[in-house]
Amino acid sequence: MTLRAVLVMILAAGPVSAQGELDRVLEGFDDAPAFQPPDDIQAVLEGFDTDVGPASGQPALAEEPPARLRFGGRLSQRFVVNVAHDAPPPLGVDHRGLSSMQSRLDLEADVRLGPAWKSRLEGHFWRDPTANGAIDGRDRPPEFSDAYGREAEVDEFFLQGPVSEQFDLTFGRQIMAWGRSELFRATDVLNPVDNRLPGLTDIKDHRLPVTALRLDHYAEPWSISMIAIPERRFDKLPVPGSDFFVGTGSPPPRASPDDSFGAPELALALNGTFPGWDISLYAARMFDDRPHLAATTFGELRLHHNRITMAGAAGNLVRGSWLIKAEAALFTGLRFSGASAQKFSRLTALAGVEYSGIADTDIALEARIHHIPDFDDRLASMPDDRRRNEPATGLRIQRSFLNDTLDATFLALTFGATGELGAVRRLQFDYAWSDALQLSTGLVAYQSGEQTPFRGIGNNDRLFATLNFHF
Amino acid sequence: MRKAVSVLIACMFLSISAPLAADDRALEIMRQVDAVDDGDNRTARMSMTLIDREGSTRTRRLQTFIKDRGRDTLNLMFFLSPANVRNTGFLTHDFRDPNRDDDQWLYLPELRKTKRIAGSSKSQSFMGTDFSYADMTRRVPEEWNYRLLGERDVRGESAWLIEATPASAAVRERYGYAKSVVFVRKDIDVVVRAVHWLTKGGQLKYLDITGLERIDGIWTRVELDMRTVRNEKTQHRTVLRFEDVRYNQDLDEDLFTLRQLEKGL
Repeated sequence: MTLRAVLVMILAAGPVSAQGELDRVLEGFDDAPAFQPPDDIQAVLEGFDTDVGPASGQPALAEEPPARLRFGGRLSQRFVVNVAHDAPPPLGVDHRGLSSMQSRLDLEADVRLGPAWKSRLEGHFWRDPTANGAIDGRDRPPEFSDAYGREAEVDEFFLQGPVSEQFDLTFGRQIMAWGRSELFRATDVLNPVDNRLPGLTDIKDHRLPVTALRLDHYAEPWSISMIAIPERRFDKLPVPGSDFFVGTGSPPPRASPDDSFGAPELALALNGTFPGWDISLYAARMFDDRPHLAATTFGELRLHHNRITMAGAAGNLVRGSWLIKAEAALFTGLRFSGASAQKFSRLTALAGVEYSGIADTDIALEARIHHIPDFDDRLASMPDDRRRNEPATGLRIQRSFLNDTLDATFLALTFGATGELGAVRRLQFDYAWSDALQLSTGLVAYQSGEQTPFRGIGNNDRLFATLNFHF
Repeated sequence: MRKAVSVLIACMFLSISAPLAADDRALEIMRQVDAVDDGDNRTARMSMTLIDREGSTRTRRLQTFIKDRGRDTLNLMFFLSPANVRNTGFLTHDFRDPNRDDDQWLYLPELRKTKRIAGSSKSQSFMGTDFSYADMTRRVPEEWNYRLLGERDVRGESAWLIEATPASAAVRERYGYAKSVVFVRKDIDVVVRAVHWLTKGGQLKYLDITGLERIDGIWTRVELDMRTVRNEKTQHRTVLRFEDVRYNQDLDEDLFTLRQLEKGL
């Protein structure tokens, strides 16, 4: 350490009155800095002299074109292997080994129609040669090949813009997400879901868009959404030939609900957003996604989707790194196959927390319960398979590594107080090879339970890997 | 990425505001730094280039909007690329009061859902970059002690060297820094370099303001280079670059609402 450095250390730590004197003293040195920091800091400061290359060597921002029309999409290849099935009985379906080799293309286009209006069009196509025996030569029921072999659909397709300063209109096929939960659906009831492969469907593809007319009115901090849904679209469920299908044969055909445009589903949401908390109130008159069996006037069994009414609420509260969430919904007018002449109600309540105070880690814990106050023992029989109380818990732990290059996610959904109704565990790793190319891989483990859809699915465990190319 | 977003853009406009403390000369300098005009009603395009130790890069591009509301700040940003996060939006209402939680929302276009997010630890990495939330927000001056270390030239301009140390164990824990040394350019009172000693992992973080421009009379950091270094080897590096920076734009408060967040650009 030089004498000058020692002087600087002493003087710099001293009273400010010494500063001016020091300045004047050091002005006498023509070719040296007026001060020198301590040696330990000086050594660290040398770290600025590095050979990593100049920051300006990084590529410049491309000029953003006026985005009147923009295309994008995703190309993906998925492999799924069943790892826990036993050999099938004679004439049974063999579920062992490779169960999916889906090639998928998603396309999307955003069109700007003037300064405020825009249109969006999304569609997808996928094909899976394992579903029709093309890979393994196994026979599958035709409905299985139809449901799992290929699909081409228009997803979201809507027009959106302001009709006045405080009103926005959205018309077309769209997704409308209600509620606050990340792990369960309590008040998120407007869009049906794709449950053909429970626990394996990409979260982006889980909700199914429906054609709707939606008018949003904004008066900060409040907003209100008025929604009419003429399209009848229900959950996609496992079909015979799938190891997730519960039953022995094809279900009866679906009875067509009322005329769509004469009797659309109606929904209303009031949202209030405030510093540190928010609340939403919901009401809907809609068709039950879950059908019940009933005979027609000609005595034929059909699956019916009954009109039901829903009233609910949801809210968030933030406290430091904690996000507290709650939802509740009352459904009335429910019908069940075992007592189709009678209407029932169901209360669904959910509470949860998310914690983000640990570096690169998010933890979410939620508890939900379905309660049927006027429960009838007939509802416990198949095909309804309901309980008076159906508790469930969900835990998700997500952690990022390598500067967000690798994400690890563990998800556990437990149904019943101790898992007696069934459970799903999922461990997933998402690795970003580049900005465009990502690999997702992991394991889904199922635990059989005493309730549909978990009956007899304990051997359905799957390893999966999906390569996604985004453009 | 889903991790919360506090005030990313602030890092461009705010000087590293300075911990104030015992050394009156350092205190005076840092007060001058804090008093530098950082503008209002700003828009910019930003790129974040993440570079790993092998030199592989990932680049994220965003459009940013920022507006002051009294002592608080409103931020809105949308991802332009890469494709898998395009249209993702962040809205933050940052309150100057350190005892009040910021309001933050994330719009996830894949789910068509707006999600409120809780505040993360300030020492946490911001979206996988080498910047932490602490690097991008104003520190509470009373929470730091200062010491004037000396002077250095930075790219031919004379700068003060000032050491900042947390005034309490709680602050040290919250920010994740044992101490910082900042370089304040004498002629314009702007921080142009900084070194942060991390409390964990034996790492150092080197911040170099490699692009500084005067835009509409406001000294604006248009390129920031942050390197995480261990044993004198760069572990990871992030370059933030701002282009098309504009001040005093006609940004209404209605822009910083969930309505706009969900509508997108």
